[in-house]
Amino acid sequence: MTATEYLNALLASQTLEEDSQELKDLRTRRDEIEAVLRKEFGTSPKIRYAGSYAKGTLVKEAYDLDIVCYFPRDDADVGDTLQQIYEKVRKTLEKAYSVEAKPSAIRVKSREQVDFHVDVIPGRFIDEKTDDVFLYRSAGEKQRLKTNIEKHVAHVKDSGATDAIRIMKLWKTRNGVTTLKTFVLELLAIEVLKGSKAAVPDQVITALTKLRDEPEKIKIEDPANPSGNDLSELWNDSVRSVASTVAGSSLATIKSGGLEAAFGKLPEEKKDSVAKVEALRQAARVVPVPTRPWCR
Amino acid sequence: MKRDYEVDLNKLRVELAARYPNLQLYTGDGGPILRGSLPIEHAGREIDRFFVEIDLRTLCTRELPAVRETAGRIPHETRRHVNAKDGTACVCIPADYFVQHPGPFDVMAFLDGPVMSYFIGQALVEQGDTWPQGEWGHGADGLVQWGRKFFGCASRDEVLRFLEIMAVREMKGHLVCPCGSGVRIRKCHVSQLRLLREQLTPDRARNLLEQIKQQGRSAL
Repeated sequence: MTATEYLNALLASQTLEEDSQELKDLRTRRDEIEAVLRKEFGTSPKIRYAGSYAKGTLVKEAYDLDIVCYFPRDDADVGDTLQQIYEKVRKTLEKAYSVEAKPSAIRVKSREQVDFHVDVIPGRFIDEKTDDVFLYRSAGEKQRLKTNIEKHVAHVKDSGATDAIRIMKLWKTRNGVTTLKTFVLELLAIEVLKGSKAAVPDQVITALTKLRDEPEKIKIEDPANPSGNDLSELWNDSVRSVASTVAGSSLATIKSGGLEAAFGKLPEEKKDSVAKVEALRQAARVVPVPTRPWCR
Repeated sequence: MKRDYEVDLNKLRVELAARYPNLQLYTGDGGPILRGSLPIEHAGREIDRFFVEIDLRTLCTRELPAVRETAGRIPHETRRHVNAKDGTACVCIPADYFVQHPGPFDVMAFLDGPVMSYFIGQALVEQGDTWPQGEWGHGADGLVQWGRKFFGCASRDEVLRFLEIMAVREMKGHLVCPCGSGVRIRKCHVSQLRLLREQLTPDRARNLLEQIKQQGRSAL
């Protein structure tokens, strides 16, 4: 199997098929959340997918479904300030779910803390003419952020690097590079691979090499608000250092064992539960000195 | 002098790169943490993958590393062997681990054994199957179960008697044997107890004793 075939197979395994139960569950979850929000806010907000789902860069094991909840400029009922809008949406979601407040988004989980991987992002349109939106920001110097989903989606879709971006997302998640935000990783990959017509394996190696060797030379800006949104804290010395170290570790693994060593063996062909159980039991049999779980 | 709970980080990095290339060693002000993912493989294919964090900082207090599943996949419930309070995974009874792995702490053996056992078990439970090695009971019940197996005794009281002997700094022959015979240790199970004390140190025995007694009081 060539490197390209391997990465294509890996990407295929990370794609949510249209008829897959996972996608159906995702849509069901989105519909449920929308119903909770509509019950409170009626038809006022625009509720739609954003993030990787909209950009076509979703990877199964590394996705967070972003659902935006944007209110019209003239909706006075939801609140005067962005913070009030954020809090009102958070409290509405709390009636039905367990929530975790993030700087601009609200993470939705079950009452037992099972993570749904859904972020609801409240915001307010700046005016009626554009898709520009203000979001509340609880961290950082500014209390608001200007963004635009359409510009982000176009920036990614037009980059010609969506497959490489997906592989890099998998790299980030599988290696626990949590301090590097996915949004920033996308911008980094697009910047490094600007104009590249290389095959995906070469693009991935290029991106990792740049991260390892010259992370400080990769300049990024927010396509929705290049002069206004300061991304320096999201791509600071500490984040660069971690990304560089892990990229170096991955490149060393690729050098000694190939892409499969760094990105993992391809998953089993779709098997039913009985077959999966048997495979897991076989895996359990070869654990040296196995143990039983306990709980305090 | 390297203490038995200190980890050679350079050596660990090399071992991880070879065996668990998606587990990265992150070092910061607080100390070393492993973060990334653990694939479960069989016949050259990946069956499943868990996203984990393994905190090695707890080693300095002679505790096992704190293990957490980070993708929010496993509910924080006792029946799933996850502490509801802090989300840590109860991969094994610590005393059981230390008895089976005496000597300096080996991170790779911990990953290969309890951690892998635990996550394979979780994957099986998700499929409606059972834990391959079984499960210890929760809290003090589990500790007593383990004690009964380790000491080969039948009751909670016997386990406590054995642990009290194991917990003393120096085992004196004139003490009554915990087996229940009424005979002094020197004329009863002295050799067996010495062997057991080599496996379960007085500190760990004391720790176990306190946990059983404390959890027993909480349960009342």
